[in-house]
Amino acid sequence: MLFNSFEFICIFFPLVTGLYFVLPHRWRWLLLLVASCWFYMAFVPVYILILGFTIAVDYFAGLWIERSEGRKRKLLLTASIVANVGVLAFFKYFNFLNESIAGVVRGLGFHYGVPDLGIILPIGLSFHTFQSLSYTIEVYRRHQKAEHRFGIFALYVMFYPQLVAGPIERPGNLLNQINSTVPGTGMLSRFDSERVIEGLRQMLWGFFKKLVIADRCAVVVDQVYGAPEHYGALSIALATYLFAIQIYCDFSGYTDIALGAARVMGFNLMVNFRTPYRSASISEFWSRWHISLSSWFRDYLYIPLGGNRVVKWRWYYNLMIVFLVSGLWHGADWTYVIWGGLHGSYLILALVFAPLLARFTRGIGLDRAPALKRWLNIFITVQLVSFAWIFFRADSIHDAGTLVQRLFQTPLALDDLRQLLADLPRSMLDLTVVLGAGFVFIDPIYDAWVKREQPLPRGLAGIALFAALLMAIVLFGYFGSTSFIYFQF
Amino acid sequence: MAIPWKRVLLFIGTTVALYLLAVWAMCHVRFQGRPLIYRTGDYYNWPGGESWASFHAFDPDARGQVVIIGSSHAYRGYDPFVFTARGHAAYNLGSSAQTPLNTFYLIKEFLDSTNCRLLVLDIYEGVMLNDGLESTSDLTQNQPSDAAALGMAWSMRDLRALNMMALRMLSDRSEPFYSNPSYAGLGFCRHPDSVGTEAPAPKVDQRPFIARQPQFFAECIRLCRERGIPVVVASHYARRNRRGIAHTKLTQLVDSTLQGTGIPYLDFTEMPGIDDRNWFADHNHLNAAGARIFTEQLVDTLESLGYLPRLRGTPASAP
Repeated sequence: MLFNSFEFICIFFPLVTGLYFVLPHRWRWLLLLVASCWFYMAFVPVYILILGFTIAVDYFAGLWIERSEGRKRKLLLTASIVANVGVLAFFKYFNFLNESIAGVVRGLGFHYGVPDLGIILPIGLSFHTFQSLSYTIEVYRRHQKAEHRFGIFALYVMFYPQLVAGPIERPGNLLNQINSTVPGTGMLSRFDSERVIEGLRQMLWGFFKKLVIADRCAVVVDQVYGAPEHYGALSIALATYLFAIQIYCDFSGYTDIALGAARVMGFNLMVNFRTPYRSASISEFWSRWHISLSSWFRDYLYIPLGGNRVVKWRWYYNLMIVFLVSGLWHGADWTYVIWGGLHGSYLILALVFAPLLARFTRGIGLDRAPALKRWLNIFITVQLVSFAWIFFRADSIHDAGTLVQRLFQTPLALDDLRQLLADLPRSMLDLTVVLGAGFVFIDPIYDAWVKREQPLPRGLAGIALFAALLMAIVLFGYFGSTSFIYFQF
Repeated sequence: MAIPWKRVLLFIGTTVALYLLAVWAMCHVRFQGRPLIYRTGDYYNWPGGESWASFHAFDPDARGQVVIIGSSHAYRGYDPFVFTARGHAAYNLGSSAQTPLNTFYLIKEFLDSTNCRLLVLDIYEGVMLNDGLESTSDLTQNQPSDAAALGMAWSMRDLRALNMMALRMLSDRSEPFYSNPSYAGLGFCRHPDSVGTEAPAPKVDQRPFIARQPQFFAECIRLCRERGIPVVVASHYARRNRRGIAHTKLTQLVDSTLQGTGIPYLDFTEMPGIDDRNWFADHNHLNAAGARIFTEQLVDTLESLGYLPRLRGTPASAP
């Protein structure tokens, strides 16, 4: 079920939330579990069996790991990881690996007859696999007690607000809220109008980002990226910046709706975005973008590899491995691997050249104007991140090559926009650019309000600020029913 | 559960006020000669064109005319001047992309057994595959009935239709913004040019019909019968690409809807001798010559079936 669908907004959410507050606390887990199944099965019902398999494996793995010691404990964790990654590999990476091998084998002049699997990727597979895995790893590390009630563990993996596109929760946060014993918190929350309003505000902000900004930007982006050979540097640059805005609004919009829906019921999910395009370096970007994934990789891959407490070359190697795997996590295509590789390279280059850059900025006196230095760094970071988005969004390696080639080899001329204006209604292009640019300015302000980091103006002004969002959704929303980008991962 | 009703109502009230203020402002602030609102969505229709001319000239008090209704097939393919030349007063209420949903509200607000002696309801596959948004956009700006506009907008169940209604209510629609040079009067548009090429092979559109359109088609029939308006359902000539299996699904739908009503389906889609090169303006629409030939044949059929009396009329001429 899509958050931006009639079924969710008008039926599912009010019904489930209403029942949640009406039911006695001891039945709430069952309501949320049934609702989560309903939510997930609205996509492809049969894929709930895969989810059920993952849940069953990790539930029993958790119990057995808790009871075991030594080598057996490690073996059980390995079995859990193999089962989870095996499911992920089969459904997500089989075709990719098969095509890659076929390409090499055929390139060498041999016959290759293994066919691709005719299957659709189960929605949100990478998200709930990682969430489930974090549980067994935490139990193995003795940071978390194993959950003995199967239904509660299933709800931890399936909690509908974050089931299909995160945030990738940790048991220490979500499972403990489901098992809350403190009255008024987590599953024991009472109806608190102030908290409900805060949750609804965050959902509204998420809907605004998705319907007014992301889906509108998508029209221009899809046009240019769908036929890159027809467009020149200016159109490609415009579409790439708009994609940077689109993917942020799409994904963080989903997250805001998820966080808001959970907050209405009394759950606090982890923050996944912190205005990432205000980052002054790539490493800062990754501490603000998809935080639940980057912290997952940090805790369960980067640090076990040795992190930065190793010799330099090994540190760089660790960084590159993490980003290549992160690229692959996003999608089974070489474009994602290159995207991850680019980010890894940015980080390594920043580390290698850090002393040189420090001397340079001191030399030109930039250190004496820290605000200017920060804005300059933000500008450079946005350029680097946007360039990498080309590979993330391109439909194929060939298209990515065409886009990069045309971006740098065609002249930067206003005339170039004529083709885009011929392909799209003028009103569409104008409004998208105006709204996209406007969004860049209001994002940090609203973001701080919905995260309750800044107080909202009191009285009518506070109400009007969010009424304006609803008004903008009705008036400027793009209502061709569209899915969220990160659902495919 | 203590719901803070005061804050909820204040929020809703503020949203409505801001919305109306924004629409009003965008309707009155002009950019490059046109109200700004037309630059904020590609689904807004400017007032004007053939729909404006047709609906503003239509006289609901006129008695005993044949009314043709439907999509662009109707206003480009059914020549009312042929009817008048044969002695039958006629008017074409067809409009661009008009779907059964839109047709239903037009019949409801404009037609009864006094001003309509016979309703010719044109239909083809395309209208069943269309959600009706395009026509709702056209008709909320270009036809005079608030009730019809509201009915269409409500039935769309789409926020864009709400915006179209707001535009209708808050903008100045006293003059059309543009006119259609092919408009010939009596609701008819005449296109003299021929497509001049062979039609492609038939292609079946696999998309399912939009569920509400067959329902509204049945509602149109029910409404006509309830009001005592004689009605025939018709499809005009089609080029090769729309014949055969491509047309079968519609035929089955129309036949099942009309079953037991005694209403005929005059299906000219696959009449022998259709000239694919010279009777069509494009792949889908008849040109002036095709419309004249088709309408002559339609009037013959209606006269032979007894829906219209055989009369001697004046020669066909456009104003």
